[in-house]
Amino acid sequence: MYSRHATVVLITLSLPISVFAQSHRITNTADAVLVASVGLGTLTPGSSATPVATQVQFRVRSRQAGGYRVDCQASFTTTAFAPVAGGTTVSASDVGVGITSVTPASGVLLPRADVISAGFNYDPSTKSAVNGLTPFAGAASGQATLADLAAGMKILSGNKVDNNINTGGGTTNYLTITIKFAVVPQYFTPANFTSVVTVTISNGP
Amino acid sequence: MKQPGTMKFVFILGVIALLAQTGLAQTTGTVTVTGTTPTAVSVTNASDAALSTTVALGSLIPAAGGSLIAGSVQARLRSNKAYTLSAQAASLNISNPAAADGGSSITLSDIGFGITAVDATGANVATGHTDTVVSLFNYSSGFPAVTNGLTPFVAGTNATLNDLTANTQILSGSRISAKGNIATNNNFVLLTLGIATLPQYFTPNTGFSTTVTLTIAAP
Repeated sequence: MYSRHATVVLITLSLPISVFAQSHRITNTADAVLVASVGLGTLTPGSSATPVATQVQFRVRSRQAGGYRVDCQASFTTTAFAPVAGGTTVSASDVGVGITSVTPASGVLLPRADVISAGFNYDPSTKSAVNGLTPFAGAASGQATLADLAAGMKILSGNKVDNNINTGGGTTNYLTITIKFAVVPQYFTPANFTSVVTVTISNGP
Repeated sequence: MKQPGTMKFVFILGVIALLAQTGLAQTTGTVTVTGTTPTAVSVTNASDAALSTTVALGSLIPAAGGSLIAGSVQARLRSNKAYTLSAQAASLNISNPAAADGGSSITLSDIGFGITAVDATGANVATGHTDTVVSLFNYSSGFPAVTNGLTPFVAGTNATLNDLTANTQILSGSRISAKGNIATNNNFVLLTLGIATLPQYFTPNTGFSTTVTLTIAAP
């Protein structure tokens, strides 16, 4: 009797989080847990108007009939190693962020109706600095920055991707998302900076 | 008799299923973006290119009066930290000198050198920025007056190139640039350096030259 009851309880608890209940999945491009680190390097100011950029790619799977949405929330911390002394320290609003591609694998459902949120549909690495200053005006102006993600924000949504969210070799049921980050090297306060961007997929839109 | 065994099997299967699916619940991920804004300084010409310029004092023919022959160089300084500017002059190279015959040849001590102006009024200059010119090199009030047709620069009071035979600090200041890069048109200190000498009956030559090297640092 103990075993029977335990089994019933266990199955009852398992169902909501089982593969049969889960509708979305977000992974890196090797289908493993998405824990990526991308470096913009040492940003020595020069004369160039071209931002320094880096990118990350990950996979999105969804079999939710109502589609999916991807939200991002970003923290931003700096560790200065010289006084600010009346100058400016690099901030989240100096780092442009945009989705540069949403690429469906061969097996996804068509037609696609993936929508990049306003302000994130651009390549920040192609924005030229004017007068050597940060060229990103924020999501409301079409050039999102990490500051727009401080409180969390939807960056992408779309219709059902496939009928399953299986992972592993040979699967073709995902979208590959490419996000770029860019910054113009300037005479900011000497510092290191770190931004942790948490990416979450849930029911759309 | 079979039921307990069957239930045990189902139970274990349930545990396996639970653990497996819990582990696969990948609906979030993290991307960490890092970077460094390093200590940075620069000295450029007034067009934001490398500073490499020639100041020609011309043919120095002695005349009556006390007019110095002068030239100037402008440089833009940028830094994201307190800075120092130093200068060093190479030995004076004299071409085809005639015999001195008991007279004097031009020397580094006959060529005044110093800072005649410091402009830090750009909108992207750090708030509260200050500069301090080493007093010996401070010619903001102009070069000294000529007396009796002789070099007017007094050692220890009025700097000459002879004070730069070793790398010597001539200027320092607080952080200059609030932000922006080397192309930014309002985040720098515009420095004007003056060079002057008095034409005299020095030993004839066909030319003289020296190279002054400026170095900005953020110690």
